[in-house]
Amino acid sequence: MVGIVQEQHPDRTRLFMQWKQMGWPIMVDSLNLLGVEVVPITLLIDEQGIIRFRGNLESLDEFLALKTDGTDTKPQPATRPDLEKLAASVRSSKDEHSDVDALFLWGGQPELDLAIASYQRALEIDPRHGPTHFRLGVAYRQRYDSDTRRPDDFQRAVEHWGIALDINPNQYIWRRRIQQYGPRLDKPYPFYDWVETARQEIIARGETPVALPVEPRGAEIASPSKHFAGDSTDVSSPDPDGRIRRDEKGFIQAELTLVPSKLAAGASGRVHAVFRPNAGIKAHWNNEVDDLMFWIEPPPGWQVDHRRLSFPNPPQLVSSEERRLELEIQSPKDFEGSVTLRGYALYYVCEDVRGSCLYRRQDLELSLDAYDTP
Amino acid sequence: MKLHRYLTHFAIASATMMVAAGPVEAATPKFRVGDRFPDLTLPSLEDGEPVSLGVFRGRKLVLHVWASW
Repeated sequence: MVGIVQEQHPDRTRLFMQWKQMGWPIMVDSLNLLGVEVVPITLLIDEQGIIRFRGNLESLDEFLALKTDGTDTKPQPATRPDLEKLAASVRSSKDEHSDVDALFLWGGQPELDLAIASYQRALEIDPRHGPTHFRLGVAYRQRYDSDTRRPDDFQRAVEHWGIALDINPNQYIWRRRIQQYGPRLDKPYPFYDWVETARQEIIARGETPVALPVEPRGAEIASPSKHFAGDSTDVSSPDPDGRIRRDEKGFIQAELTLVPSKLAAGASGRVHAVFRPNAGIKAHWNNEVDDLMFWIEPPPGWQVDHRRLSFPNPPQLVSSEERRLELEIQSPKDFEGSVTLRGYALYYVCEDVRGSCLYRRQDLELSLDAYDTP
Repeated sequence: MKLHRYLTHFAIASATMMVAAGPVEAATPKFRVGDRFPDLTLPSLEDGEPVSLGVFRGRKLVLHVWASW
């Protein structure tokens, strides 16, 4: 029994395996090298690697009784490729997709920049190659989740997943990759609702659940249909005249990402706002005062599910964690072209361990572009 | 006995995954009966080391392609 999983975050599969106490080998296919468009798929494969049955286990007894002639049944062990040769090949090659895929799989974080550049180069030659767009998106998202992230890595991932899906709208695996970060679906889909149950049952068994570096959130957890407050008047801008001093030293690095990257008229999107203390100047949150607040000014005709979001301070006096806030927006029915979503964050931040703590404002904006039918 | 244990786990997991995955599209034409399954080498979930399906050559194999979502 062997499994192959289609996951951006394989730690979640590890948690699932721990929960279900499953011990069979699992291979991780985050790039979708198999090219499958749906899951699950069950195959019964004979000693020579030939698929004998597909789709269910009803044929298991018949499969186990099958006799093959025994040729070509020698195990083929896997070996880790020579990374230097692989990197040299990728640098010199212009269209060798498989080498770039291998570099991504086996080079890890140190080779991620080269893998991304190579996927980009491949797309210059063949800009309508859907799998390359998808894999470039996977690579961007992986870098975004790492310490070597660059501004807009997540947005680039979403853009390339969107292009891949335009090229092949029937690719269910690619569609799900966008949906898991996107707006809540009209019919909520429980991507990772099982996570909380799994943790409780694992803890009840006296074990420690596998840690998840990226927690499921937003559309990844099924929830009631989206609700838009519209131009709600029950909240007001906390700094309407912009009198709070700006964070000119860049204590906090903020980033907004829209999923999907382009919106049709009347469609919903999810805005991911991330705030990270600038480690270069040892900035950190001051948790003794008000929570981080994010105020949103939607463009005319747009709806948002929240005008004001806040991130509750953790109990410790200071901290330096990444803080994530998310909201959903809906474009007007006549949306075309491009508009800008504006907002600002207010927060208390300290310069370094013995430095002074300050109250600062950071203005943020996000371009909202209309989706053009390809 | 070992196979039976694995398949028991598999049945439980599949039931969960089918609920999680919901209805899926029509079967893809990839990987038809009679095809040779590629000896793809991918990282192991356990430790990231390379695993090839070719290593199971000579044994009957139940292969399940899935996702935890």
